[in-house]
Amino acid sequence: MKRRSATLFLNTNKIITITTILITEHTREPTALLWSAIAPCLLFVITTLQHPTPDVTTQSYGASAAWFYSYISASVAFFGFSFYLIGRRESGFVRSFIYEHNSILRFLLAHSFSYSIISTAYASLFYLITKPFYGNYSVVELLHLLACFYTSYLLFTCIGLGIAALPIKFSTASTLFSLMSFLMLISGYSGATQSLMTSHSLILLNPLYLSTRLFNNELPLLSSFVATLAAALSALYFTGRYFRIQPIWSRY
Amino acid sequence: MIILETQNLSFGHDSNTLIDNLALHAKQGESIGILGCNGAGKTTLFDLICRIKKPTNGTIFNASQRTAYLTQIITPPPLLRMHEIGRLISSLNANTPPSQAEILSRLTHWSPSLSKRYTDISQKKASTCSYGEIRSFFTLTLLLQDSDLIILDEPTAGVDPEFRHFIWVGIHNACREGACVLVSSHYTEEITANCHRFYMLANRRLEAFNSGEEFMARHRARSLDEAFINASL
Repeated sequence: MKRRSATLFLNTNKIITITTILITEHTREPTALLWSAIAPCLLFVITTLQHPTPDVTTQSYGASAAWFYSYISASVAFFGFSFYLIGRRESGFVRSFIYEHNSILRFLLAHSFSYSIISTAYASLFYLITKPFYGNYSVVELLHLLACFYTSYLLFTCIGLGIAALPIKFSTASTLFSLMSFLMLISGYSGATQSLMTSHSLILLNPLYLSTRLFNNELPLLSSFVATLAAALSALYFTGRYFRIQPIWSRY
Repeated sequence: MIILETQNLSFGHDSNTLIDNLALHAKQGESIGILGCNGAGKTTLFDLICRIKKPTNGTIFNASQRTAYLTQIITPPPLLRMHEIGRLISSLNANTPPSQAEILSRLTHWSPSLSKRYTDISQKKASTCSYGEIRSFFTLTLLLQDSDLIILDEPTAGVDPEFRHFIWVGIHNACREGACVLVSSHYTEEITANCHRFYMLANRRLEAFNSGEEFMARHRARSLDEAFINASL
């Protein structure tokens, strides 16, 4: 019993250490901070200042910020969470240090924790910067938005893990994620500017649109969260089970 | 005590056999060299031992509690400092990750100059480190973990004499403390000078040698490199 407790404690300590290092690494990446955290805040502030709205209710803020929160969740899930997995594999780091069952488990858990913390921090930062344009801060509102945001983030991590499982090189993955983000934004933009009838079928396929429906209370939060959590945990399990160790460029 | 033994080990893709019927053994405290030209199958052999690949035939008996494996090509996370990468590797691989103080104390015991060099590299960001610094840091970090079988795939390739020296100091001391180190290289001289025994992997087969003289005599050569070439033909 004592031995099991000691092993559990040691493993928890290791996972905390790995999580801390991964968060440290991410915070030193200025491009990620710029595109996933600062750029959405700036864009929201600029558009709000250009088109001020007299309606400063909670619903109004949620509706105005939904696309931004969805974008942040997609951006962190794709370009942070999933891209990092491909990057570490293609750098040969995985092949040397993360090929045993326990190492894979520790790495995937720590990686998931670190990006959960990072994504939530980005969403909180966005709230803190943008909310004053729509009235006072509210803890209840923040918690609700974070719940919607995390559900959205889990949805995008499922897609990201699917892409990370493909036998693609780092540059191909970069192109694929950029292309997906672009298509989602274009689809969202066309959905917002055209009539509902013409864009309906196209926009329904857009995960970014699905995510905005969460923020607009058009989808039930609790069941959506449970469904995406189950999907994300399954995706993580299969990622660990069939973890790609060899870099794709390698002849091995 | 034998820590690693392979019997009739074979591996190949479809009809292409890469290694065939290999027999190898290694004991605690031994440094074993694996010589072989490019593409001979050294990395494949190490992948098989680490169970990254499954053999098509034969058995691998690995009695080690902990195996550490340094592959040929690794790009470290460029934004992290080397001591952070060291902690990351230890947390991923070691049973009980050693603290920085324990690492430095052990290194000082091995060689004070080695300890100083390791400390200097530890403070640097990976993106500012030279290839030799990265290679020697990774090798020493793996040697300092609680692994009893350490596999190093060409740790000295492309590394200058100073860092090569540090890598070998680390290997000698890890073996003295009971670890078994399997190290591959193209440099016949450093393998024959530094390893207890060595194998030559060529033409899908593994040949065992106890000394450079035996290697030259068996391949009717006047130099180690000539023996290497003759064995590879």
